[in-house]
Amino acid sequence: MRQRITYFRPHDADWDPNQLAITDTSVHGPALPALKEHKITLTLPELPSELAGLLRDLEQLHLRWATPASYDTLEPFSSRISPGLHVSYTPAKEDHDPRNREKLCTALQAFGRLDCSSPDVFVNFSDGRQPGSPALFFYNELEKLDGFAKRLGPVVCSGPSATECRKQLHELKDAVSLDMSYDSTSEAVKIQALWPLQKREISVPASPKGRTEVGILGRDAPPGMEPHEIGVSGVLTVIGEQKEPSPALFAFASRHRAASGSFTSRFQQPTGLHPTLQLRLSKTAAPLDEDAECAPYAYLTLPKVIFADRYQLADELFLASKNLTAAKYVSEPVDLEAPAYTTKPWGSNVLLQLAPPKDGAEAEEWTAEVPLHLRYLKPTPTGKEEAGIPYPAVFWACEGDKDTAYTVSPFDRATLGYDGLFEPGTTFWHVSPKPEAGGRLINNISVPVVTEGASQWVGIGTAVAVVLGFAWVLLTLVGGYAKSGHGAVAAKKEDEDKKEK
Amino acid sequence: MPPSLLTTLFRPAPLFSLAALLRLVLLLYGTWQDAHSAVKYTDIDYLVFTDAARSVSRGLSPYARETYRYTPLLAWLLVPTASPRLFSFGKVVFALADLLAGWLIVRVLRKQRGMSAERAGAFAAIWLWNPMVATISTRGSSEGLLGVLTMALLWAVEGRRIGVAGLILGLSVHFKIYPFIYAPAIIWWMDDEHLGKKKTSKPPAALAEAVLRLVSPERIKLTLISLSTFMGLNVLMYYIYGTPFLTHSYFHHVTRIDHRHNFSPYNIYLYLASANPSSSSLHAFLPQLLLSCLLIPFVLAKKDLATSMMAQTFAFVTFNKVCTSQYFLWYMIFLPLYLPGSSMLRDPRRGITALLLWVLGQAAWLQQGYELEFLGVSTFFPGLWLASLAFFLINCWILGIIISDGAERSIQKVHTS
Repeated sequence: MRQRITYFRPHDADWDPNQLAITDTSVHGPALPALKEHKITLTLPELPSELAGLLRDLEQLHLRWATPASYDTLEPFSSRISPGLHVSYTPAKEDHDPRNREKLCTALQAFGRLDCSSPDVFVNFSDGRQPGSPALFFYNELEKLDGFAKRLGPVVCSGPSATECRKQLHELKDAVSLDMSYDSTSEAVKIQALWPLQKREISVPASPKGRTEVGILGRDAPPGMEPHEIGVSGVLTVIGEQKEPSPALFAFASRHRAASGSFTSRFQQPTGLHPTLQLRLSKTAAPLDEDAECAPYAYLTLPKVIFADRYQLADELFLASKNLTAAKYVSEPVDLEAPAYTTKPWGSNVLLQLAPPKDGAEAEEWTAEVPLHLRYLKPTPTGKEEAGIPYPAVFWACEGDKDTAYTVSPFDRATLGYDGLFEPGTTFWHVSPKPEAGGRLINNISVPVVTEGASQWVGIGTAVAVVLGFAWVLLTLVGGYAKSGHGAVAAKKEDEDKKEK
Repeated sequence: MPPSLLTTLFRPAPLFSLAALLRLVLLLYGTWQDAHSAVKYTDIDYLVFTDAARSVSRGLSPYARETYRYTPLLAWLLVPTASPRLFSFGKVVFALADLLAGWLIVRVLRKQRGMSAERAGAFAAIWLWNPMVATISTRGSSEGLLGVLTMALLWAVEGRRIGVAGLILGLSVHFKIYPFIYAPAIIWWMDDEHLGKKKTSKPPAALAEAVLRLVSPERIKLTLISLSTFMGLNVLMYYIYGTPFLTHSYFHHVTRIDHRHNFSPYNIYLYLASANPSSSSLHAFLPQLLLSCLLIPFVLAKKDLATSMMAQTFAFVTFNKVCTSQYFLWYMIFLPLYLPGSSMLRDPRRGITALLLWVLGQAAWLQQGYELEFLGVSTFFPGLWLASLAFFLINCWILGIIISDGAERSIQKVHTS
């Protein structure tokens, strides 16, 4: 097991490395504004046997979670995903053994009640993506990691360090993002948690089982840094190995960058059954220092209550009227008619290319509109059902050199859903989401449904109306029959009249 | 009576020129609106057809397009639309089908009802100059094709072209299922009298003889030809496109949940039922099929086949589990044949009341639908539900009038002759 804890300072935060107290068992320091990243690398034998058994049946597994709370971050930790839990995996064997999915779903219940038991809830993920992308994908809203930390404690924390272990798990309640990745080639599990930018004390205990590296870093510009790189400087130390922090200065290419400006997402009122999601971008512009082609995108994660119609998003005039350029990707399948309660997939993903105003590089504010459609939901007592739709990830994607070694970056983050839809070497410049209300990156929408109380009236009322209508029609038929029978009676009479004449 | 300007307009040349002009204008306007506005004139269904046609032109299955729920014949017919310059080809076909249906109406009225050209033209104008009909076909909805098929069926049957009638019947059932309701009416109608054969004057001695008398060579011929056309087309399509053809063209209509709001009286009931997986709603077919396949043709078909078909279609649409305004075209095609001599024309107050109630029923429903669809107000219950029941009862009342008229039809002939 290896651990790496990084405190990352903003530009303007003064900080003196000499204030760091390094002992054999811990690193301590005074409070400073910083975000914190905790990275743990484990090998399969270090995991509880059940979990290791599950992973051995998989080729790769990626969990990505982001908080619905709004938070501040710094480059190179600027990547964003829609709030909630994103799960993608590839089974080890082609045959898609259903037990793999069942075991995975059972394990995922550690996060809370996740609706992943139905066979078709996972959606095929590899179409249109870079080779090596995970095969199957599932998303579930997940507000907090509290329950996960509590349930995980007894499983992973044991022995003399159990208390410390639980304490660390408990800290997950304040984390804003959590990644877990496994792939069968390295047989390693990588866990990365991120805490937002705020004033925090430096306090890192040594891991009882392995190496613990601590870094206190900030942005810098090392000599010889390439224009597309991010420079970093600060101090590094390994607990138990070093008494003094060693200075560090390095640069690397980062897959994720921070774009200027921000965006909000809201539903146009009234929402009706065909709501429009308005993405209002302010003061954001294509990164200027690049020669590369850049375009703004929104990657939507839509729970099954709501969906985009790929066919509607195919007409150029229509798209242009919404400030959209193209729907680059819509996951499949998306049933365009079925109610939510008979729809099996978890929902759908959509990658939209947005159309920024042509004039003025730094337009103050512009709005892209995403036409969406609601599914019918089960009856409720009030005739309304509330649904929360996570904010999309909004970013400028800039073409880059295919051979850019992003993975060399110590802070690289990949397999976020949208990155696989672009060429390798693409840089993602993330536009920072600003919450509409309540500080949450969730768009609430009220879906009209039939009231539960209706069922007693509708059953009997419809039957009465149909019987009445049917009886009336029947009566006229009987009346007609009584008058003239079933044959062309009168015509016959006519013939007879003629004969008589 | 000196021919007024209006009656001259009902002569064939101006009648069809105006109908064609109306469609041409709408077609051009639609093309313009599609090119300049984000709100499209073209119906979404037309995009489904043309996508499927493109699929077919590439040698793929039309069912590769989601929500394509039609026979592959339609996609084949529209293959030219796969080339972008011929995008409107299908709309032209649908508009021509409208005109052909109108021509058949005129022919049936003149040859088989002995009407004058102007009078026949006036009634045909109800179809030919109908803005609703012209809009639906130029927007690219295929219902107009059904109009021409059902009118051709009536024309063939009344003209005693049994072979042709069988072919058309088989084809139209393959195309849209619902024309199967015409089969019992036609079979029942095909007695010796209507076929111009000598009647056996003796009443049948026993039930067995009555049944036996029903089995005439013509009836067998119609049954065999229509069945083999229907099955032949199905086998061919199944051979080419496999199970997706059956699932999308046929089974879908039986198993669909139909939750999206529409005019059907069953709509809210079906929505509630679909949320409760154990329930089944197949019994909703019973009153619909009883009326449209059995009772109405039994009483009406021999008296006036056209009115019987109109009443059957009206009953089928009114009692259907799904009902959208495009379905109204299915019975509107028979209006020019039903209206002459009907009580709705004899007593204009009755006719106008029926028309007004029919329009108002839809308007009330559409108002509730608008609040739901665009304002997000939960009007499912009671608003939308009551509006759909009211519209249903209005339709039942109108159906009653049509049936009474149909039952009196031949009596009238006596009085007028």
